[in-house]
Amino acid sequence: MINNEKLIDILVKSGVDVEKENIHAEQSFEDMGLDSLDMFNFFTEIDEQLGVEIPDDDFEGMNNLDEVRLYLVSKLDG
Amino acid sequence: MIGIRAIGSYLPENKINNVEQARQFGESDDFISTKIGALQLPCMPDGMETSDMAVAAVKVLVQDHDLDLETVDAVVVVTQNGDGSGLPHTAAIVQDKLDLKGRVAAFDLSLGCSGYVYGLSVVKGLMEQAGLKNALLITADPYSKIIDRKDRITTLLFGDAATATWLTEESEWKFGKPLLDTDGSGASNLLVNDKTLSMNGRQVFNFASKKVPKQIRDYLESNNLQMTDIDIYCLHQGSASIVDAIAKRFPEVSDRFISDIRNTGNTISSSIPFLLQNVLNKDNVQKVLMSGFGVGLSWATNMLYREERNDK
Repeated sequence: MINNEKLIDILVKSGVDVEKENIHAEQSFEDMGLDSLDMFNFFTEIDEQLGVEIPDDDFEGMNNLDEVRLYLVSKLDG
Repeated sequence: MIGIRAIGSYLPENKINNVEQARQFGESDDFISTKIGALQLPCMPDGMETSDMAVAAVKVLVQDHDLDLETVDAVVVVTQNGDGSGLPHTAAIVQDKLDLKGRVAAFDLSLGCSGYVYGLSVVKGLMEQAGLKNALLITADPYSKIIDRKDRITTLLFGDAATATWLTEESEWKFGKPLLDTDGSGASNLLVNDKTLSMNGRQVFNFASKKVPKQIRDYLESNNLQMTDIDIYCLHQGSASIVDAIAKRFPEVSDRFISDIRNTGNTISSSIPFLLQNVLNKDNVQKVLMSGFGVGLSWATNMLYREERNDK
């Protein structure tokens, strides 16, 4: 099951320079200080851990962890 | 057995300040220093050609490593941005500029960032088959010819450089059988359109961080090697981030992955030999694994290992 806690673990494992306690699901990645290369690492980690490859068009539309979770739920449940 | 005797290199003096360039795109200094990793990007000046960089790298072999140009019987240039429009092949122009006499084989090898690993095996195979004694494997692929300075994705990344590797039997560093892979379905992620480079950074990053670790593991396994048997992992320096992303997939030895593009940027096929120059003369280094990846998509892995020269 995909929840925000799991996604935060994946984000931390991807190597971002943000403390776990400072990560909030509704906060935008930009406000968290994440850059494009952080996002590449995060989505590669999602691919490896959950087996979901996110196409470029969908990738562009996700701006926070909540949006990523909803997307993954729709893919994994669909 | 044929191996590497020495490596020479050349960086243009003309440099782009990458921190200043990044600010124009709203990127932070931290992004450039820690993620891209390149603080300055060497750039071939107007009036200079690919072959001139190649010749400059070869002259380092002559000056610092006693290469006798009269003994050279093969010149291979790894490039996709050769002199002029690519016809004739740059290797022939290099042969002429170096004034190499006698019977000299010369051709270009059209590969990007996997080109050095490929080139070593191509040249060695040619030398063995044709009975050649001294060959030069040159990397010179100036992306400044094809970069749009308004394109944030590519202009912050690539630098110009050339290297020249002297292959001969009287050599200390030998290499094994390479593992070579290709996925042409991803070609559109890194290509030239209307003489301008275009890159899907995310897809190239994704490709490299997934495929390269697998190929390295396959290489180690097929050669009955443990990760810890390798002293240095010398990857193509695509960016600081991609080297980090691959290294962290080998946690036991991640500190053995070298990463340095501060003064060069991503120099395509030159990035691996550029770093090897400073690695191969270290006495405590016996095995170096190298892996190149990029345009094609193409990726290639092989290992260098030290063997005492029998002519010493």
